[in-house]
Amino acid sequence: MVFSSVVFLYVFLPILLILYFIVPSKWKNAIMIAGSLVFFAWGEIRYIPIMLLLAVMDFFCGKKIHKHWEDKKQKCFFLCLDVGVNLLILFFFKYADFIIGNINQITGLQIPLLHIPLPIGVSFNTFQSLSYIIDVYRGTVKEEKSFYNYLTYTLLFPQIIAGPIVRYETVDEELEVKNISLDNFSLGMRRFLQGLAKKVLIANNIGVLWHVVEMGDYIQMSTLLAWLGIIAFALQIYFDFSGYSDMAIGLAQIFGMKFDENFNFPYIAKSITEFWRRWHITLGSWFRDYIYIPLGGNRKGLPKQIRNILIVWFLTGAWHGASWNFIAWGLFFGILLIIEKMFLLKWLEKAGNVLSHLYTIFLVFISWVIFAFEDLKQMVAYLGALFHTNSIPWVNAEAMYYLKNYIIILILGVFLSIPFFWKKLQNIESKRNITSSIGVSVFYIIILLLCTASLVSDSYNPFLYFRF
Amino acid sequence: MRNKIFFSIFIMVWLILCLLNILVPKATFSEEENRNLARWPMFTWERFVNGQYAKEVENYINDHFIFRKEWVALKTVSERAIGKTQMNGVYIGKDGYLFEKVGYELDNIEIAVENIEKLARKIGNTSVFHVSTQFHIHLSR
Repeated sequence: MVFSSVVFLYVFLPILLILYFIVPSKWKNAIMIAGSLVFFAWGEIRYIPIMLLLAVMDFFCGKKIHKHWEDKKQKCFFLCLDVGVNLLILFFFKYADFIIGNINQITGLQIPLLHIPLPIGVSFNTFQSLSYIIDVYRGTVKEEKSFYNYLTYTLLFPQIIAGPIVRYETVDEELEVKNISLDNFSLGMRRFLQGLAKKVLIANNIGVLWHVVEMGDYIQMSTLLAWLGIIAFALQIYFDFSGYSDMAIGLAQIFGMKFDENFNFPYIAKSITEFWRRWHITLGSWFRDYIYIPLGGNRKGLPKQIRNILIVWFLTGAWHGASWNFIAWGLFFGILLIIEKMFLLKWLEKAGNVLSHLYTIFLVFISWVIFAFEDLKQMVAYLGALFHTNSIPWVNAEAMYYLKNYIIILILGVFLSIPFFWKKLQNIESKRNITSSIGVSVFYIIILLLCTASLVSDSYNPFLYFRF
Repeated sequence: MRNKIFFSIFIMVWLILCLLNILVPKATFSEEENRNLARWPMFTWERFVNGQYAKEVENYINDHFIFRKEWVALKTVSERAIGKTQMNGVYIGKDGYLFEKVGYELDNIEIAVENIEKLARKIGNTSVFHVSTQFHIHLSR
């Protein structure tokens, strides 16, 4: 199930909320577990047994590590067991076919592909388990003593599709006692609606433009259309992803839990380093805390630091998908970050805001081209269109048509990816007079109605005579 | 206080929509689309596991959502307001003219090919070749 669907908004969520709020507090986790299971089972039931088994194993290993706290060997064994099995699951589902395909290419063997569909949430689920067991091993968190609570944590449906990556330490107290209040409900619901609007009203609409451009013929494409396409992709992926994070954070707050923020206006960054402090924050900090720093971080001299950065960004790329273009995308950022660390950051500071901002946005857009095309030939063709290497006019009627159709939503997208509007909204929301309260309520009701209209209309197919 | 106002207004609207959906009787046919609306699917374990059941339940809920026509109208109005001239495969022209998108989209072509092959089988004793060019599909016997 996805958040942005009629069935979630008008069936699943109301029923879950009513049950959640009427049961006594010690039963709330049970409702949460049941709700999460229904949420997953809705269209993707095969992964549930594996998730449950992983939960049992994480919990068991956490306990064992605590029990053998003094015995280094035992402690290490249970850490390695849990990490190993989690990684194995991740590799099997996500990378098996990619690895087989590459082996076949290199050796000329014909090992058949497994064609396992990637289960929902496997990337987030395993990363959360890893953070739990490593933190227990390091002693930075206490192991969870109740399996009931641990299961609630590991299944927690709001974040499992698209993050944020919620570490156990972020929610450990709230697994025991929920912070439920009318204020949290209202704040959370508004946050959820913001995310829903970002996804349904902005990302889905802009996504149509990207889809049209993507389907086009890049050799014949005008430069303007290629740029419109990549701007659309950049906005779509931001509003889609940050919208999902907002919805997750909002839902958690409704249920009385607090998740970490995942996005902080990435497109206002003035360097790639800053961009990655603002984009998918929980993933960046995961790789920093569990890979980069254990490898030695920046403390063992420049050559080792460069090696560490490249390892982290190779993995970050691979995490986004099992394909070479994602790895190239990760390494592209890795190399940029190294260059920035070595000297560019200092130059950028002197260069002034406009220039450093343009530099960042330009490189991020190029990175999206790498991200968007699994096929190298297509990627090159698209870059060709972007940089006008063909002899097609810069602007043609086709490009003007799409510009006219999408200019307002694109401008809206740009406007909403800077803090201005959201700051203003927050100001009005914190005012205590009745007019602004009613105004805010009406604003969010309109959002709900517009999103509902958009979702309900999805199935509306008038005039389709050829389907009779 | 401010959250109480939001809470009460929002919950009211949301619950009314949920309740109306449960209480209002369902249509079975859509005039505008000239099609039968989705029916509540039969549950089988197999269809549940492969996701088909969930998909059909969602279709059912979407098809029978209260004020469906009005939601579609709201979406169309709001999309027109932001300058879109093409919606759901229909171009909006001057003076309220509507033009259906003429496309060589893949599923159109597939349906056409399928139908032609069906016809050929009916006639019998014929073979069909499809030759695709950049803009047209030539069908020859």
